[in-house]
Amino acid sequence: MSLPKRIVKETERLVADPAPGITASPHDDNMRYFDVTISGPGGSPFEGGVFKLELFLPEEYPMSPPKVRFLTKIYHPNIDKLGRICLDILKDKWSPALQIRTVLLSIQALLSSPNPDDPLAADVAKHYKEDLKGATQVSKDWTNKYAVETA
Amino acid sequence: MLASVQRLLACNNCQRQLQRPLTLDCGHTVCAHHPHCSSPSCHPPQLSARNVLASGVAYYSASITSSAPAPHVTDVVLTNIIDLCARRPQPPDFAHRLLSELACHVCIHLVVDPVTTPCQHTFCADCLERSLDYHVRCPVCRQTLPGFAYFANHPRNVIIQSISTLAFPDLHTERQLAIAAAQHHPIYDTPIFRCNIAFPGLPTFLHIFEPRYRLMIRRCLTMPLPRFGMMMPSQPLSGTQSQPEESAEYGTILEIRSVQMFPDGRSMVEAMGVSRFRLVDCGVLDGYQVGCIETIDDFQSEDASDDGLKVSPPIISHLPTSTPALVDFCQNFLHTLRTSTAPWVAQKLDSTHGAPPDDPTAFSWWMASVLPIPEREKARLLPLRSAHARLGLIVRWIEALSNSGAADTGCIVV
Repeated sequence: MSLPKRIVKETERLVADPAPGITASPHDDNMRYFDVTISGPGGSPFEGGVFKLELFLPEEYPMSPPKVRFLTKIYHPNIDKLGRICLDILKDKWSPALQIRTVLLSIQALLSSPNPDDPLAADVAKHYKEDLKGATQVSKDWTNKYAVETA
Repeated sequence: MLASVQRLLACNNCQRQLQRPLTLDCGHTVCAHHPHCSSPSCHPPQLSARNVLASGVAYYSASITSSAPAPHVTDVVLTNIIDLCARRPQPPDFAHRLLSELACHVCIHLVVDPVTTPCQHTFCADCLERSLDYHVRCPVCRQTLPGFAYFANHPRNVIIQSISTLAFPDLHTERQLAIAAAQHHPIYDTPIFRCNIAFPGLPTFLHIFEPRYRLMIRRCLTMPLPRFGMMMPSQPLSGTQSQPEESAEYGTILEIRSVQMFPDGRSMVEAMGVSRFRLVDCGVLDGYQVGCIETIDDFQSEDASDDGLKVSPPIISHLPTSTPALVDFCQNFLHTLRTSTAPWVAQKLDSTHGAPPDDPTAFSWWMASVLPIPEREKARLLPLRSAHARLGLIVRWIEALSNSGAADTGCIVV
């Protein structure tokens, strides 16, 4: 089945004009499956890390949201052990006017502003609420341990 | 190009250059301070209650209510184009900027058949319809929209339509062709509805609510012969099964006879079974299956009818073997049912399924649809290519039902 024109155009734009700190490239054998990296935003405990994610466009995309998951371990109240992300636009707030680019920018923004009041990883959220400084330090440690390439 | 675009940006009321453009539900655009259309021939969108489509399908539209634009909004695309045209000096990439203003936010290409919402956002008619299958919200501003029926056959935004065809005629034609081509799978031509069992010659009534099947039915209705294949949902393989049952590959072609639309885009569809098929190969189009099928007919002569023997257990001595005898056996069972159960059972039988047909082929399907046995079991009839073989299987079901005592006690669901 040929790829919908919208996906072709989005992919072209992602490659030609990538958003700062974000890369997304489709697999050669499945153009609906993307390898994604997001750089930890400056000023956040994830700064300096490069996080790998996978993004898949389901058959009903753009009517249904893309499926996105972190592959790199991350200590964040809205991202669980399996890398699943609690973000409203990936669920009920999805709109077909959103794009891969806007989704990835939203995930990058989520790294800058963790929201422990709407947790997915309950233990991390509790940690963030009770001891922000300690929790932030764990996030930094995990970033250094899992998201920094040691050359 | 600038001058010709500017000429199109005129109010349909005062005929002067648009000031704060507002697009009405008739598709015309006026200045926001006199929000009325002056075209004498202009009607708000309306549909007659019942249409007969070219294909002969009786189509009952849902009623719609008009919806005034929200206060203090202006047509977003036209406002941006007016601003773009007013820029001095004229930007060197004027055409490029104009094209990006004319992009639909759903397909991100040049808008085709532009429809403007009361919140004044514009989308391709097709894109908006598909979005409404999922959410009754504007894809851009998330405002609640006035429902699916309101936008069915909605008037196009006249000015945006004119600017698109004037400024980008080739691209516009290319987009129209691409949208038409995307309605069909390039290889597989039969849409498949995975729902329940259907038989030739018998009607099926469906409530269409899933977004993918709403789209499938809409596409069927644009065809000269509005047909689709009905198959049982594929069953997950159990541990002991190495491959799916043979009957899972078979289905029935249904032809749409009537459609009752609801305001939110759901519908009730009446369809008639016309033939059987075997699914040879299949793919997916926008979430629903599409397949390449091979039509299955009964063998021409009764001599060739012994394919039933392959699937049948050894013949049970007290059960009949000839086709007329098998029909009689079924008729006797029906007679027992009518005389030994409460009258409403017989009444319900007649009103739901109609009178039993005389022809053995039609009778075999009718009888199967009446029997209270699981649909997966009934699906075993679909590959059988003679009335004799099917009646043989049905008689065995009746035997099993009678032995279980269900028929005698009147505990039967029709």
